Amino acid sequence: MTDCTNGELRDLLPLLAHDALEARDAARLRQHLAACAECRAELGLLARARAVFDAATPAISTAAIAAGVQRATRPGGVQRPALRRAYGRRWMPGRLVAAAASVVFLASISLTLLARTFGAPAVGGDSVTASGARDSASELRLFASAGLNVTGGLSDLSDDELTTLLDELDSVEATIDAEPSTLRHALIEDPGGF
Amino acid sequence: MGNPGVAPQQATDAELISRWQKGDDRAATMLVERHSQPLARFAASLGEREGIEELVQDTFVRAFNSLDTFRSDSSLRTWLFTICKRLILDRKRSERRRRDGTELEEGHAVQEYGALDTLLADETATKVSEAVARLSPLQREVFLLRVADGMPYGEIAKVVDSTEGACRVHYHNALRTIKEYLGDD
Repeated sequence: MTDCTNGELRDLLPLLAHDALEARDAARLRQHLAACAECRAELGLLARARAVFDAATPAISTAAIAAGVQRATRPGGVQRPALRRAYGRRWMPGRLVAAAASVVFLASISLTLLARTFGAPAVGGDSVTASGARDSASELRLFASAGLNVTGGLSDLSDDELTTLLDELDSVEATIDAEPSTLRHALIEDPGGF
Repeated sequence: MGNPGVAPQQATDAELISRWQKGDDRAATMLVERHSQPLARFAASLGEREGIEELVQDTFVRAFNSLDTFRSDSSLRTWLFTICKRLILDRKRSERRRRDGTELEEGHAVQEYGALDTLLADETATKVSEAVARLSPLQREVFLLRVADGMPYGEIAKVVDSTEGACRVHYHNALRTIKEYLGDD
């Protein structure tokens, strides 16, 4: 296959099929094609090449793509890939809040008991009793599980009993199922109550 | 600014973008319908075989989420092609890392493209496909954008990060390579 010597017009051949030429250039090229077998042959080759590229393109669903784009770009939409990102949004905060609540819960009790054990006054200086913890059911369960009688108050416990209680605290599961609402209220209402 | 009186099918890309930004979801659909197939074809020419639909969708999502960075001195399609190409390169890097650091050589894309011969029933088209497979990745990219998408050299240069003159040379070298292959047979 030989090449046409009119390089300028030959260079425009690929654009003819796409209506990407100025009307004047398109008219010149069509006039040239009528008289140039080389350019007609090249135009045919380009058409076959286009067909090859089209045949090599896997089928796609523009409707599915459009729907996915809408979901991902509109407010409230879910980014694709949805699994990873949605997982990150929905799962992490709940677990983090639960873990943080557990840490606060255990740290508060541990610090208070340590302060009492070594004689330092708790913040606020009030004495601490089990009833002073606002009848926290979770605390009572904890004390009972340690085999301790806490009807009088923590100040009545001996050093050995406090050590047993601390050991029990250490064995408590770090992640809790629900927010410890009763204890949280006790802390908020009377932070020095322990 | 979009012209509300213009039917979506006749609206320019800029008008559709403006409509979409004002909340017209049909405008986004029109843009997707207009440019998805060329993007898929472009991705296939670069050796992508799987996940092309996801790739095209990601291209649009990335484009729509960063329209403020779109410079109107190039066409939307050119911009979409550049985004698509970056995503493909990211994919290839990830795949390369997964393959224990094996370098992806030029030959890989050529082989993948050549494997499509079986899809073409026409013998002449099969020969053309073989000839296209012999092009370097850059030649094939330029040739595709010129022949299949009718892009001016200036726009092609933006996609392949080259110069207009270099793209003209790549196109004509590609065409000569194809002609020579067909003539040798």
